[in-house]
Amino acid sequence: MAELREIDGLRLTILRGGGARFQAAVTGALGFELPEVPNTVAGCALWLGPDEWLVVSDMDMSEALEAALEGEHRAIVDVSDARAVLELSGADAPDVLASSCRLDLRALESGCCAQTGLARVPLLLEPREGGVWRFYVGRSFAAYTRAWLEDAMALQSISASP
Amino acid sequence: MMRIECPWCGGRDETEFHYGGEAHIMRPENPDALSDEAWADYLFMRANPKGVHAERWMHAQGCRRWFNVLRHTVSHEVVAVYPMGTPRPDLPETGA
Repeated sequence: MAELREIDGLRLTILRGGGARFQAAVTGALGFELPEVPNTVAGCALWLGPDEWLVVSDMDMSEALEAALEGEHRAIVDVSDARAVLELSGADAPDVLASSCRLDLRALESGCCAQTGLARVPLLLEPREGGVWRFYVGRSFAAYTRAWLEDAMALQSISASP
Repeated sequence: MMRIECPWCGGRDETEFHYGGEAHIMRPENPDALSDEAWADYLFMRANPKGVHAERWMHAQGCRRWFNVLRHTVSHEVVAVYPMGTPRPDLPETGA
């Protein structure tokens, strides 16, 4: 069994910058240190690149970050409307994902994230506690991604039945 | 399908990457001083070896960072991956 749902209302902010002062200011604003290890999650920040993170929150963090980073070289972009957030859960979720994602999913555990492709759609994949797989995908790709995963779930349920 | 080792994200399939042409091509310091032949050589002439080729790749569906790759043009073996701005590494002795 696998279940797919869309998560609404999350605020997504892309944060770019680097250096000790930048890190200290962000730590002050967010209350945790940004992950420096590639493809990991710390607090509510996901590593996207050596100078790039995605901050996921229930409230808009861009103003707090702008205030904390004034004068620093940075980029702060609210991408809440640009990305759709989907969650796939259930015991068969890895099999459903594996139908179109070429990553070794067993190597991904919660606390990691990965940017990869799913059925040729670029997406950010975040395994979460309780076997939940969260995707951040371009809004315009969301319907396609949903349709693809629902199809994979239907096939999975057929092949899993005796 | 080629597997390319992204310096940040690890090994991924080639479909996640964009190819960026030959690496280590430097823009001339002073193009005005060049002859037409030398300028055309910079613009158009590229190595086309049967063997190891230094080229640029970008992890488009991942971290979107550029890096250099040494790839064997016959076997597609990725011999080395190294950062932008660093010189081409010496080839390991393979005897091949």
